[in-house]
Order: sequence, then structure tokens, then C-alpha cells
Amino acid sequence: MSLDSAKIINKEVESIINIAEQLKLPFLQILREVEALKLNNQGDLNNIETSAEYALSLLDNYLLSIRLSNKELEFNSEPVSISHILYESARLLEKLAKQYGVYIELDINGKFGPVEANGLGLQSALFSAGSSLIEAVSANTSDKSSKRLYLASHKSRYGIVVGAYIDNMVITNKILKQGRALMGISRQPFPTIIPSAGAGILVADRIMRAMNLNLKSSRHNKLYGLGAVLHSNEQLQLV
Amino acid sequence: MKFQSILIVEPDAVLAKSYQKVLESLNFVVYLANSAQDAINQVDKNKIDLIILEIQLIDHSGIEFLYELRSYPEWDNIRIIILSSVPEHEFKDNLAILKNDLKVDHYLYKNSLKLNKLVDIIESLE
Repeated sequence: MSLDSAKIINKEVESIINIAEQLKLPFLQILREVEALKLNNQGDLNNIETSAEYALSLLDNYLLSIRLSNKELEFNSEPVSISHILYESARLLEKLAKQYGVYIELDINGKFGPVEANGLGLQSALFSAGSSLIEAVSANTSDKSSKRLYLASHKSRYGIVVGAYIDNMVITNKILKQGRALMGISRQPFPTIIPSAGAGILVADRIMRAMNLNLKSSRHNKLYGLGAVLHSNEQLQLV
Repeated sequence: MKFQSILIVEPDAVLAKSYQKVLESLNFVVYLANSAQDAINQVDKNKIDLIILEIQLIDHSGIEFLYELRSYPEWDNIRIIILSSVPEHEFKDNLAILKNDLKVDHYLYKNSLKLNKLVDIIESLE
């Protein structure tokens, strides 16, 4: 086996470890709610449903990222509406956010027209990154009113940036780089922002890469977050 | 001594609320903290008898929190249960430090602990 093949296999094993660590959390949440129900009828069936749905979505998106990496699936670029993608991602994240006491805000004021991307891939990546940021903002903020996840887009000199952003926390490319290196090696690859394994970021990373996009640390107004640069579909721009 | 108030230091809000619901139904006054700094603030503001602590927190770890807590003589008698997603065997020799120097009463691994067992352990500390 070549050194490169060994490295690839190691990376795959590390990604499985990272996902396994992350999945312990929703399973533990389900277990605790069931125990609370059994003990004194204090458990909440809605929480059980949300945790189970989150675990399944994480697995689905992880498998999608593997199929894309292995070229079993291919995502074709097409003209997609950013506002539609952001709205759908917010809808998918809504229950999880509510469970964590986090409000989702959409900032889709810019009129950018369609961009070249794969809608489903972009939505899956935004959901995955957003789920990790929901955990982050919940664990970092005591003040209920400021627990917010922003799904937003803006124009930069490189193109149109679409991403997920949070208040009160600094996410730099250095933090992202260190976290990527620690995925599957450390139980908590992003120790300054996320208390769990942060697997949503790993999954978002992989899906973005399969679409030839890069997930990077990004600023939106005064907020920090994770975003990717997309390019406009020139043919469909209205003058 | 009868325990009245418990501080749960847990970064996952969903898990924290599960513990809170059960312990409040047993008539404990329960406070929540999601970080080491938040936990110090809660101990400073309220009279806490027992802390249930996750050591895997953001920024400052639960161990750092314990060193800070134990540096104040007035908080020396607060009982501590570590309830962590880090298995006990990964601590190896450091368990002695936790128990002897930082006066941790129990180290429990979240994934193999049942809630009723946690309640039994809390009641055995009283």
C-alpha cells in the first residue's frame, strides 16, 4: 500500500470516528428522555423525535458526502436561488434550533440572482454546518435573547458568499484548520467553539469539496461563521 | 446534611434539561451552567450543595473549573460528581488527583450511567 493510500484510509477512519463520537450525543439525549419518562413521566416525546431526526439527517448527509467523494454520485451545477436554499436550510434546522433554544434568522436581502451550484448539496452542507453552530451558540451563550443562528448571503470581491453565522464567538480559518486536523483524533476538535465532535462541519466540508467549493471561516457584518463562495449564473442575470 | 441545591454544568442544553426535570421532580433546586465561567458565576450567586460536572466544556475544561473552585476555601465543601462523555479509564493516573486533590466524590461515564443510578448516588452523598 502506498503512503498516499494509507493516508486516505486513515482519513476515512478518522471521519468515521468523528461521526460515531457525534452520534453518541443524540442517542444519549434520547436515552435520557426515555429514562425521564420511565422514572416520573418527565420525558418529552418531541425531544426524542427531534434528536432521532437529527441523528438520521447527520447519517444521511455523511453517507451523501461519501458517495460524492467516491464518485458514486455526481452533483451537477445548475442555476439555484440563494434565498430558496437559505429558506429551505432554515426550515430543516428549525426543530433542532428550537430544541436548543436558538432562533434562526434569515438575511436574504441581497438581490443576487441565481448562482451556479447544486441545490441539494448546498442545502445539505448548510444544514450540517448549521447544526454544529446551533450546538456552539447554545453552549456559549447564557443570555437567551442572543442565541441566534443567522443564515445569510452577501457579495464579496470573490463572488457571492452563502453561510451560517453566530454572535459572540470568533471562528477563524486557524480554528477551522486545527479542527479539521483533529477530526477523529480528538473527541472535541473545536475546543473553543463546539463542546461535541463538531461532525456537522466535517460533513459540510466534504459535501462542499465534492462540489468544488471550499467551506471557510467567513464574516457577515459583525458576525463570524462558516461560508462558501459561489459564482453568479451570468446567463440568467436580469439587467 | 440534606442537599437542597444542585448545579449542573453541562454544555448540551438538551441533556441539561433532562437532568433538571428529573432532579426538580425530586424537590432539588437545580441551577444550570453551560461553561466553566458560567458555573463560577452560579456558585458565586447561589448556595450550591452539589455540582454535577461535564469536564468537556468550551474554552476552559471542567478540570480547570475544579482547580478554580477549590482555590476558594468557602467552596471547599461543595460535593462533586463528574458525569462525563470521557470514559473513566482514559484518565488513568489522574483519577487520583481528581479524588484526592480536587475532592471529586464520583467519576461517572455518561453513556453507561442510568438516571435512576445517578439519583441513588446523589442520595447516598447526602
